[in-house]
Amino acid sequence: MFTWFHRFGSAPFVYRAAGAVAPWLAGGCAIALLAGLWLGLVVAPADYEQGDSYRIIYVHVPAAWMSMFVYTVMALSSAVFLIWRLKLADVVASASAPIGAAFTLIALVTGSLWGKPTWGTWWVWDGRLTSELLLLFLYLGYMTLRGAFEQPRTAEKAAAMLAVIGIVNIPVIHFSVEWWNTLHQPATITKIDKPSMHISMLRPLLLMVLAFQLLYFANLAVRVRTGLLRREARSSWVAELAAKAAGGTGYATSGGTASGITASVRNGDGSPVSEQGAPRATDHG
Amino acid sequence: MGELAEFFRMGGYALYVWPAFGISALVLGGIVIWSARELKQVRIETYGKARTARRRRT
Repeated sequence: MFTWFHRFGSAPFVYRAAGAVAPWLAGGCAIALLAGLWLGLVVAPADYEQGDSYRIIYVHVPAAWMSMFVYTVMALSSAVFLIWRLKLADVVASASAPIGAAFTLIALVTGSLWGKPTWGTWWVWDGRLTSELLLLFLYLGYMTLRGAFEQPRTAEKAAAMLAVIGIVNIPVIHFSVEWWNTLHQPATITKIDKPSMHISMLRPLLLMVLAFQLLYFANLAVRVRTGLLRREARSSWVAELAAKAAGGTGYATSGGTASGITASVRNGDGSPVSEQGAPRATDHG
Repeated sequence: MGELAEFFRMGGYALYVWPAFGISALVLGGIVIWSARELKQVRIETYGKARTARRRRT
């Protein structure tokens, strides 16, 4: 059990595994996204009450759902980091924050764009909207805290604590439509016994939820790799990767080409040169 | 009106539907590109540092 944990929780293994799964997640995301957009924007009929404005649901609901899902991942991995001091958990949490914030921002903006034609207002301080806005501030607070301390270890701990405390907001967002019965409508999909959506409208919604989910995991894989490299810059496995990259095996193959790494130019001695003119490896040691 | 024009009109809700999808694409596309660039950048920097450190040791 512990050897398993050690092996699969080890930084080089996760770095490699994340590089291997990222392209598959991204590919699946692209397929689900195209299918969802086609079925949602073209095939699905207009709503008898809201006309075509209801189609905003295909970005609004997946984004809102992901904003809560990503926060839950962030809070749970922060708790693991605080309790068991597992560095990988902190890397996952910090890699999740920006994409979670992005989903929250999208949920708020598309909700506003939907609210105007449906409710006649861009914004109202109802329970759902206010708690979702608070969620955005929690994400932003988390990211600000991480940069606010000179000691990175202090920053990690403080941010993780904020993430854990902020989890109380998640049930508040979820139940807000029942607690404060104001403008925002209650859940549509989770009523399995009697779905209030026709299948032609529901199918694209589920595809878009899947697409957003895959997008998160693909992005998480890329960002976790970045976080691991930063955190473990001085470790031997990174040195090995660097040595391999400088050798004949090729720069891109050592880490996987998936994450948007294009071909790299080489110097005479084989050290990689950034296309954007990044600081190159020093030749005079 | 053509079928395509009708599609873009979104039953009169074009001003709400298209910005909603456009902003979502912009934000998500932005974070995907930013993350990929960041990994590339960090990889180049870390590899450079790791190589220098190794050369110093030997």
